[in-house]
Amino acid sequence: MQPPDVSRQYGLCCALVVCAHLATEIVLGDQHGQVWLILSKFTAIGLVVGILCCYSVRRNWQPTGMMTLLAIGVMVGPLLIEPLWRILFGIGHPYEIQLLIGFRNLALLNLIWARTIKYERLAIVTSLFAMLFCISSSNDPSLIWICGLFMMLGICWLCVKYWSELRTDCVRGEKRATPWPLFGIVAVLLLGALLTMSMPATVRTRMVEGFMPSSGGTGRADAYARSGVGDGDGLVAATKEALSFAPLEDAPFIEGQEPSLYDVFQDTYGEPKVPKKFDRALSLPPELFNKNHHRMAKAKKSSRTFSIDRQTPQPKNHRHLQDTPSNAMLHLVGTVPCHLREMTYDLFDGTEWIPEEDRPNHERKLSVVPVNEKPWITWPTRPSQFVVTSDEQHALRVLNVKTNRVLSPVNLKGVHIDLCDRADLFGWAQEDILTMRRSTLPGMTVIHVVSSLIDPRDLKGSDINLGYGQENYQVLPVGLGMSEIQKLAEDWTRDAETDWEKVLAIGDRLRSDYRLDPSSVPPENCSNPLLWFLTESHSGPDYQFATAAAVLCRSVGISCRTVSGLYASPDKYEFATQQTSVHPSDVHWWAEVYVGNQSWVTLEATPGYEQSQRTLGILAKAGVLIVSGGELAIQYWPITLVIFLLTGWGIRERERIESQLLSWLWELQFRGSETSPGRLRTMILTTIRLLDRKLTLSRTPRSVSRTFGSQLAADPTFPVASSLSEVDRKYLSRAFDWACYSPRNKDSDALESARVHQLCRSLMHQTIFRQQHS
Amino acid sequence: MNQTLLDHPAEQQELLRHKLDRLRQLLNERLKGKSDIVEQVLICLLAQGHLLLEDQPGLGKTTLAKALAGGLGEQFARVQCTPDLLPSDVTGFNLFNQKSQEFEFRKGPVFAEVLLADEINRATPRTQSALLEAMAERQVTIDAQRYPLPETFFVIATQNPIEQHGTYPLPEAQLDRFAMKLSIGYPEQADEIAMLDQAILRDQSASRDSIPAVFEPGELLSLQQLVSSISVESHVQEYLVKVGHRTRKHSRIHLGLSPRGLLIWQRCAQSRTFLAERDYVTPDDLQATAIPVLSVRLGIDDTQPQGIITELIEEIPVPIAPKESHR
Repeated sequence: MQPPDVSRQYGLCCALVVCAHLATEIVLGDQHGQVWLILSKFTAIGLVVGILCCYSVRRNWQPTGMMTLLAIGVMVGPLLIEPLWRILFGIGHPYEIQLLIGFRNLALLNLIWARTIKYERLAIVTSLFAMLFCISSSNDPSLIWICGLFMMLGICWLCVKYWSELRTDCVRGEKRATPWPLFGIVAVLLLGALLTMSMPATVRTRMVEGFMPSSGGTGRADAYARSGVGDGDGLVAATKEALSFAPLEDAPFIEGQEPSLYDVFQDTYGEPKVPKKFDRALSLPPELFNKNHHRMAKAKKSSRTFSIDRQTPQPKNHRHLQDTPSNAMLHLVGTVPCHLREMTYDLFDGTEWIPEEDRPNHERKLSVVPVNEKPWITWPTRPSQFVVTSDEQHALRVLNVKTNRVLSPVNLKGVHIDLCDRADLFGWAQEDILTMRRSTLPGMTVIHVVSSLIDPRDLKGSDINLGYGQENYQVLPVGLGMSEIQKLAEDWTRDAETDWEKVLAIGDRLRSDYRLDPSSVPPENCSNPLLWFLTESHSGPDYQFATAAAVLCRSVGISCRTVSGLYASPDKYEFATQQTSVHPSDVHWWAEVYVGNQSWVTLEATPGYEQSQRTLGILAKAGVLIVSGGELAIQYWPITLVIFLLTGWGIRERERIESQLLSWLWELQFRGSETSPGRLRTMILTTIRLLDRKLTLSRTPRSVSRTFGSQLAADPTFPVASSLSEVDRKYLSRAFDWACYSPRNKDSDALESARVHQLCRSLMHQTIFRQQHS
Repeated sequence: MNQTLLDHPAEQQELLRHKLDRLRQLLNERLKGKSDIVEQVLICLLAQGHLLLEDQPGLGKTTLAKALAGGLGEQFARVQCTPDLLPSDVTGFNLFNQKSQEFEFRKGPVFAEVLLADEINRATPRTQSALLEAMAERQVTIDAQRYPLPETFFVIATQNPIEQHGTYPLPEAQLDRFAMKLSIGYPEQADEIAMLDQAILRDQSASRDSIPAVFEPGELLSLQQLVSSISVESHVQEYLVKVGHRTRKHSRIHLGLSPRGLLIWQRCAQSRTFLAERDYVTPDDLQATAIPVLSVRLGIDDTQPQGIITELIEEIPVPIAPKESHR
């Protein structure tokens, strides 16, 4: 015969699981919407489990070792059967629903053995899981009622369980072990969560992205997906023929109002000054001179050069230059910071940067390669020979800018636009700048780009030689002050041993000793704006930094070039949409260092801008967490110090502190000089429990196999007894025995409650010194 | 049902306690320096159990038994067990009376209130088992005729642990009928000197071993009834059962504690409680009687069973009072 509590508990458990089962069936039937189908399936499964439950109760079925296997089976079963269903019947469920079915099955399985407390708890927990799953994945109105019922039943179950446990405890009189390790884990998790909360949003975001399998953004599409995550059908092209991206037939004839990148550059950096007539020359070998001279002239003619000697930019009153959400030039999904390159420059004549030649790149012949059934435009690349690279994928959507160049990170490897499966739509604008053969990039279309990123951190220890590559990347202007710049470069890189260390030294020096000031322009009649920036003003716009980095690197024999483009800043990352907006103010200049095999590394010399780094793994994220925690601690160091000292003191004196707290607790409960006879037993028992804790704290625990009274009476060295006389000890021992072992309804006539109270108080306030371990 | 000391008239109780103290005192005088043994013997007596003394010859086993019988004012009998001792020598037998032409029952020593079975392991198993019924059920059956024994029937058996030849070790069934096994052990030097002194003085006296009777007939029985009515709290009983269960699972104990053993143990603890002038049993009472009670009935694969019993007791935490009910 089972006690009433147990059968009540079992009944409630059954009701909870049935609720979860019904909710699951409703969610499953969401797509079909036929009530009779849902109910009949619910009843059929319910009946089978019910019969098994009855059988289990009657036969007193005990779970065997097979239970674990069975549990795994019912949990994983739906996932394994799914492909079969899909192939055979053409029906199926999305991944999250398969998981839900697994949880429901587990709850039903546990119900069969739920008379055992362990399985009852498992049944409740799994049904709770299933219920939460259901609520979050469907908006069927009936679920609200079922959820309400589930909650009420759950509360009832908790109440019944509490009472029955209380009763069991009272009958057994056992002290149940406190699950300290569990508390510890919960505390650590809470602490971790709190620490995470206290961190800047960007760090937090970087830590959690990609942790969940259903985070989305993976481009995975599932024919059976319900909605939202994993529903790859969300992006539907306007037409099957992807030759035109125009949503309207007359779209090609409408002239866009978007500013071109050139306009944005001009507006941001100000107009170039009219060139002065002074001696400028390039230190080119004679055989290259003619060709480059010709190129220079051509570029100047088409205004594609970029002068670093410019006028002060006008205040940004252009509407299209404001950083409003509606004014974003493009949206980027992927790791930030990201340098999106638009044009590269190789020759520098002291004032102007000449863009690289638009030469046909035969080596990089474009072709279409299907990846996951999507067309990707790729070309042969040589793997980098000595550095580790990691592939980074970005998706960008051009909104408000006119350019036909595919804005992409360095070392581009492939481009994909959905339904765009012809390689002749693309071409090379420069050495490694891809362009579309049309006037602008298609607006509102997602462009996926894959690039191989060389993390500057990986180059740190390597002693690679960066002094090769085309001669164009090493050309230095010859003119007034160039020798000073060269001397400066040698000065700065004196301590550097390897080429990369030189690069780092130059970059670090620029970032630390120079200030970014977009309005700082060279004075009139300045013969060498770069020298003026490096030696006099120590401040300037970002192109000055890029130029300085490139020229200084070239001065010490490192192949280098400058790049103009857009900078996707981590500050503009939006957590909600997981994308970064790029605004007109994000136009940027930076330098790139050649590391061989057509691979480049971004050299970001402008303060306030960050170098692109590879996406962090989980371990690295943990590292970031620790580091940012440390930074926080350093930032608020007085508080940290106080917490540290308090914690240290607390740990050192923890026994004493807790012991004192216990004494106060006793005083709080039994104030006054006497305990009423009715409370005498409670007082003594409380004293025993608190004393036990005090003894444990002082590392002199009482022997559990002997009664407290006998130890008090017989052992004068018993720590709590040392202050009492033998008579008192014997008296108290008798009182303790009475409180612990005499019938509850019996008062002690032989004990004076005032004396016992006094003796107990003296015991509670006695300091028990921690035993010294030799 | 829970009858306590308070249910008896206070003066009578006082008197009985006083007499018990007097008996203890007399026994202590007779057996120098063995107050703890005397205490255990009294516990065994009050618990209505039988006592097995296992020790070397000449340590005072018989002295103790005779003194006890004298103090109790009971009839004392002694059987010297030898291999040729017959069951009828112990229980008694029917003798045909030529004059009356009828069978007459001649009572054996078992009909005494205190029986000393000396060197019990020298008797044959047949004779040993004749004692079995007498000890367990306080009755003997001869020729299908049942003869009840006095209610205070108390067996003190002795056995010699050294000699192996010509002995029949007591079977477990027989051992379980004893409440306790005690070893008296050698006295201290001072006690031995006191004993020698006393012997010179006492040589003149006529009764060498007997002590004056302390109890009136029936008083021992009412004492025993008082003891059996002392209450034992459920958490203390739970502790007792836990220890019992542990003996059944211990790797070095091949025969655990029987339910009868639990009953006897509880009764012994009650006796100790009575002697300590308390009216509730504590785990201390159980622990104090653990070795004599357990060593007689546990099958321990060791020459030193005390060590294992002590270990066992130390393994199991004693209960503190159950938590206050919140209902």
